[in-house]
Formats: sequence, C-alpha cells, structure tokens
Amino acid sequence: MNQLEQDQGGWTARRAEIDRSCATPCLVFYASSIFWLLAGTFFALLASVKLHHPEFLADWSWLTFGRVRPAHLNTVIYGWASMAGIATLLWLMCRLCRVPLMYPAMLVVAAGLWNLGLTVGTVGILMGYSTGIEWLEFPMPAAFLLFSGFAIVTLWSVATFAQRQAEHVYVSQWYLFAAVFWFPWLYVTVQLLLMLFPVKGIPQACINWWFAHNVLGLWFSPIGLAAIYYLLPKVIGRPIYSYYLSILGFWTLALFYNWAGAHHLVSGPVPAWIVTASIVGSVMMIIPVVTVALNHHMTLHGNFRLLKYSPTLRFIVFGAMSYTIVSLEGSMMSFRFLNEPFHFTHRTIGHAHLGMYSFFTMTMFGSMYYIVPRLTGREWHSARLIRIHFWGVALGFALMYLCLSIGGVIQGLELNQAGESLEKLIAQFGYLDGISKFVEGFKAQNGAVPFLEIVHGTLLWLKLRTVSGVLLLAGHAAFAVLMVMNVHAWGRRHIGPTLFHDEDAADYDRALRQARADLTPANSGD
Amino acid sequence: MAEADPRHTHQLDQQQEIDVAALHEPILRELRDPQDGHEPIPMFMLMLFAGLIFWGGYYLAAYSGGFRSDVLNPDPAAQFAGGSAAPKVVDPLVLGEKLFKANCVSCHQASGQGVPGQYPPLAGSEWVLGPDYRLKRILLKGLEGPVSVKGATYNGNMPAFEAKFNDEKLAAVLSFIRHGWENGAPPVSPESAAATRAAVKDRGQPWKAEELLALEKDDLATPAEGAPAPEGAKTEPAAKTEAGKTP
Ligand code: HEM
Ligand code: HEM
Repeated sequence: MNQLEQDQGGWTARRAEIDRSCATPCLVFYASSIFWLLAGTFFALLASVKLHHPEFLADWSWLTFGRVRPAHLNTVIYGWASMAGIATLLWLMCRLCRVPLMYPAMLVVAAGLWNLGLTVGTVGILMGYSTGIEWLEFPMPAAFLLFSGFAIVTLWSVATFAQRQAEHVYVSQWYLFAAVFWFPWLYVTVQLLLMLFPVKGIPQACINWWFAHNVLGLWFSPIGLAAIYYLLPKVIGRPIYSYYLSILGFWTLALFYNWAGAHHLVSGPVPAWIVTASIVGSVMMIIPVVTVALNHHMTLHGNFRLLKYSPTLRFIVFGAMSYTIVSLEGSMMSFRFLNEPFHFTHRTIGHAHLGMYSFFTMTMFGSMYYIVPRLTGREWHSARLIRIHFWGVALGFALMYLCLSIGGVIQGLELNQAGESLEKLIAQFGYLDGISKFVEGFKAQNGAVPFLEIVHGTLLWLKLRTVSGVLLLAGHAAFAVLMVMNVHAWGRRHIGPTLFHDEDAADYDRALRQARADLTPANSGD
Repeated sequence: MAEADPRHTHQLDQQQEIDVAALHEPILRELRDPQDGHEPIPMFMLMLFAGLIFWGGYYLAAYSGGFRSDVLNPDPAAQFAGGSAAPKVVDPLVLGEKLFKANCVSCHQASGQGVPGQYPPLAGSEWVLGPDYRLKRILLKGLEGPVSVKGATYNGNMPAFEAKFNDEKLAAVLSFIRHGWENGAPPVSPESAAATRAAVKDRGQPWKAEELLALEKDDLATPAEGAPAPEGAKTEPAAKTEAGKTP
C-alpha cells in the first residue's frame, strides 16, 4: 500500500521531472540517430541499385559497392541503431531507477564523440581506409572515438544505478545494465585482438564473428527487449505476465548467446567442435526466445485490438514478434545442412534485416513514439505521417524480406546444384513430398545452371529489393519530418495522444479501460 | 516526498507561463509503471527445454570431432573410418629445390655456378653428371682436399650431410642438382641412397677426390652385391618418412 500511495502521489510529478531532465541528452541522441538512419538509407539504396546496375556511379571510387556497403552497415549499426538504443537506454534507466538524469552535459559530450567517430569512420570508409574486417570497417581513430563515447555511457549507467530510488529492479533494468557492460567488453576485446595486436589465421575469423554476432545478441537485443518489456505493459496498463519467465529468459540469454558466434563460419576451415558448439548454442537460444515470446504474448493476450490504435504498441509488437521469428529462423540457419546451401546467398541478408530492421528498428520506432512526446511535452503532430511511416516501413520490409528470401533460396539451390547436404535433409524428411520434388527439379539440372545464369536469376529479386528500399525511405522521411515538427513545435498542437486515426480516440479509451477491467486496484495502481 | 524536492518546484515555476497541464499531458495520462505478474512457468515449456538440453548434449558429443583442433569434418562416419588418407606424395624435385635453397646455395649459388676459385660449380660439373655413387658419398660424408671440376682446381671443405638428410631428402637434393641447370642426368632413388648410406656407414672421414675417382662402381660391400642398379631406378617418391609423421 505504501508503494501504491507513493505512486499515486509523488511519482507522477517525479516522472515529469525525470523526463525533463532527460530531454536534452536523449533528444541529441535521437536526432543524431535519425540523421544516420537517413544517411544509412541513402547508402543502402545506392548499394541496392548497384547490385542490379553495377555501372551506376561506378566511376567514382568513393561510391563503389565495396565502400558503400560497409558505409551502410556501419552507419545503420553504429549510427542509427546504437544511438537510438542509447537514447532509449538513458530514458529507461532514469525511469526505472526513479532518478532524474545526472550529468547531462557529459552525455552530450558522449553523443558528440560518438557522432565524430561516425563521421570520421564513414568518411574513412568512403575514402578507402576501411579495415576490411566485417562489422569493424571503421578505421582505428573512429573506433577510439566510439569507445570513448561509450565509456561515458557505461560510467553514467553505473552512477545512475548506484543512486536508484526504486526498491524493485525491473526486468528491463537487467537487460540494460548488462548491455552497457557487454558492449564495451566486446568492442575492446575485438579491437585489441584484431587491430592492435592482431592474432593470425583462423582465430581472427572466430574473434571477428564472435564480436559481430554478440553485438547483435548482447547489445541490440537486450536494448530492444528492455524497451518491449517496459513499453508493452506500460501502454496497455497490465502487469507483465510472469516474473519467473522474465528471469529464465534473461539468464538463458546471458548463458547461451555468447556461444553462437561461430555459426557464421559453418563449413569454414574452423575446428569442427567450435562450429558444433555454436550450433548447440544457437539451438539453445530457443529457450530464452520462446520464454520471452510467451511472456510478451500472454501479457498482451486478449487485447490485440489495441494494436489498431496505438502507434507505440503496434511498432513494439511488430518488433517483438519479429524477434521471435528471426531468432527461431536463426537457430535453423545455423544447422550445417541449411547453412551450407544458403550461406552465400541473399537469404542471409534477408535474415539480417529481419533482425536489425523488423525487430530492432521497429522497436526503436515504437519507443520513440512513446518517449519523444514526454521529452518535448508535445504530442506527435500528424496521424497521417504516422500512417505513412508505419505502412511504408511495414510493407517495404515485408517486400524486402520476401524477395531476399525467395531469391536467396533459389540462388542457394542453384549454386548448390550437387545438393549434397540438402540431399541428406530430403532423405531424412522424405515424406515432405512437395519440397523434395521442388529440390529434385533443381538437382535435375545438376551442373547445368551456369554461374552467370544464377546471377541473372537474382536480378528480379534485387530490383524488387530496391523498390522495397524506396518504400522504407518514404517511411523514414515521414518519421524524420514528424521528429523535426515535434522538436521545433511546428504545426498545430495536437490534443490527446496521436493515434493512427484521430477519430479513434474514444474507441481507444474504451478499449484501454476494457483491457484493464479485471485488474484490482492493487495491481492496476492508478 | 517528490513534491518537496526543491529542484522540482523550481523547474515547474520556470515553465509557468506555458500551459502546464498541456505540457504534462503525456505524462499525466500515462498508466502505471510495469509490474510483475507471477504466473508459473508452464510445464510443457520446461519439458521442451529439458528435451532441448538433452539433445544439445548428444549433438555436441556426436559432432565435436573429438574436440581436436585438426578435425574439420564433424561427420562421425568420416572420423572413425580410420586413417584412410592416402600417403602424401611429395615431388622430389620440389623437395630437393627446397633443401638445396636451405643448405647449399650459400656456397654453390642459386645459379649452380659456385664461386670461382672457392666453391666448385654444380651446373655442368662432371661430378654431378657422372655416376651417382660418387655424388651420394660426397653428400653423406663430405669432401676434403684438392678437387678438379670443369678444368679448375678447388681446395675446400664440403661438409657432410649424413646426419641431416634422411634417404628421401638425400635422394631429392641429388635428383634436383642432377636435373637442374640443364644438367639433365637421371634422378637418384631413396632406395639407392639408403643402400649407399648403409655401405659407408662406418667411415668417419670425409672423402678425398682420388678415393672417389678410384671407385669404379657403387661398391655396396656391406649389403649384398645385387642391390638395385641406381641409374636405372625410377624415382618412387613415396614419401614414407614424411607421411609417417602426420596421422
Ligand atoms: C537466437 C537467435 C539467432 C540465431 C541462432 C541466429 C543465427 C544466425 C546465423 C546462423 C547467421 C549466419 C547466416 C550465414 O551467414 O549463413 C545469422 C546472421 C545474421 N543474424 Fe542472426 N540469428 C539470431 C538472431 C538474430 C537477431 C535477434 C538479430 C538482430 C538483432 C540477428 C541478425 C543477424 C544479422 C545482421 C546477420 C548477418 C550477419 C552478417 O553476415 O553480416 N540475428 N544469424
Ligand atoms: C532503407 C532500407 C534499406 C535497404 C534498401 C538496405 C539494403 C541493404 C543492402 C543492399 C545491403 C548489402 C547486402 C549485400 O551485400 O548483399 C545491406 C546490408 C545490411 N543492412 Fe541494410 N538496408 C536498409 C536498411 C537497413 C536498416 C535500417 C538496417 C538496420 C538497422 C540495415 C542493416 C543491414 C545490415 C546489418 C547489413 C549487413 C548484412 C550482412 O552483412 O549480411 N539495413 N542492406
């Protein structure tokens, strides 16, 4: 009861204070992240066009495919995703620890260092100074700047956590606090072992992919999950389904994820046991993933109609579902019999965007829809722009995923004409008649599809991917406009939450009240 | 308690000129912070997870290649089929060139021309092109004192390689110098090298040129007379010793 009273009284005012203290650093990080999202989208489109029209801008060395692709990868990963993630992390940490943001100037410096690092790194890549190591293409000075920026975030997190006023440490907090240690650990280790004192031979590749995989699972995933764990119950006003599932999901992620990196090196010249251990780790990831999925699903259970109204909820749930799908897909992809035929195909890129886009990026959009109005004190200005944003990115992504997957599977089957490992699969699941006939069709052409024809076969799918990129760009542009309008208070002030459709406000209210009808005052707490 | 916070009221004052209620609208309408429910973990999930862990243990054991660093193929069948790898075949000329570069070039030079007045040439040398029984003996025990090569006299010390080269290496390096620089003499087989090594094994001294010139044939006194004729023997580069080292 004591807790409840405090909630009803001081906490709302305290929340306002916390949000205002977060405004400057969080908005600096968010605004930068959107700049890098647009830059990354620009590089992405260039890379995408070059894959079907290689002569496009090919005479200017700065914009050749070999530079634009890593420029895309690094701007979206370190620029967009990490900066949006850090802003979300800062706000969530303050909310969860119940303390106003400390040392805001320090965090603005961190954002500055991070932006400087990104600029140096991206220009470095475009000038041809890429390190040539995937996911770490930024030249050394950029890596140093990024690390310095991040060190501030880690120190700040420790200080904030130490000052926390909340008695209970909520599950989002576990993920966030772990992530601020995991990322610097990964980044320092990989910089030391690959750049400063480079190891030789096979261990180089192992360390490279240990990093690149863990940066997904121990940096982006925890932040995405923390945001979902916070916003899902927050928006619908219901408790998270089960504390025990939260515990199980967190610790099994921490236990298994770190093992999985070598599944990027399946069939490489890596000792068999390393790859086998990574496959086991990948399959064990089913445990945290199913656990988290059940926890989120049961929390929302029976209230899916709310997705019709709330942008935050729809983006977040889109992300949460994608997390489940991408992870289960990933567990399957790590098996040798599937990895061998599909590794060197567009299938992998499809998976990559299912993770980084459909899960993480969508989750960040959802978080920003919730958090930014609280930072600026202004609602989103235009429901129409929100609709353009959602449908642009949702349809754009669906198209991208479909064409990369279909195109990639065909490409893989053709490249793998001998179909040896696939043959084993068919032998094991021979009753899947349809699939085996399909594969038989490819094997009948055994050795008959010349390489160039396979490449030509992918062109249709690659062109469609460019179309999807244009849709995504439209969505991103709409969102950027929304952000600028919100921060600058342009346009008419919106009254009440901005939903997908303004006229739905009353329905939304009713639906929310219904969703919470069965809660007792003790657990509804408002 | 929070209302008492001076920072809080102070900041509110600053904002007073704006519509405070509207400013905080998103925060005011906000629902309660997330709470934890305490539903139990479903039984079917625990069973699924137990099954997964069991499978993981099995899979790791079955496809780990014995946790060895040199096993890349995880297929247990391939692993237990027994050392089916064919013995490694080494081209004696490649091996010979490698050995020559490591051991001989400093004196005889890569060109095989030696150094005038100091080290005799190998290219076109009658010692190299002639019968191989002299050559084998020189390499095994070394050569000392004056020797005439291609009309010039040299007086140096050729070291012995008996301990350094096994039969295969001895044969390879000799085959190489007999083949290289357009010498075009037939190769030397490891078997013939082995036979000569056995024949001279008790000798402690390097040879003198006259001793070797006096030798009329590959005198394999110790083993039987009927050892294979070295000139005719085709080189069988079955690299037994090399292959024997790697499993
Ligand atoms: C348990 C969960 C997951 C497993 C087991 C898994 C498995 C895999 C595997 C096996 C590959 C390599 C494919 C290949 O190169 O042949 C891969 C690539 C990738 N995955 Fe996942 N994945 C999981 C979850 C995720 C998540 C959550 C994300 C995003 C946040 C993600 C993003 C990526 C990306 C970006 C790549 C491409 C990396 C590159 O080649 O540059 N994955 N994943
Ligand atoms: C605007 C739409 C986007 C388009 C058209 C696009 C397109 C591309 C293209 C063409 C590649 C190179 C693929 C190849 O080399 O075969 C790529 C790679 C990648 N993109 Fe995107 N991208 C977009 C947005 C994003 C976003 C927002 C993210 C993440 C936040 C992202 C993450 C990645 C990653 C991680 C890779 C590397 C995949 C790998 O290494 O296997 N992309 N993307």
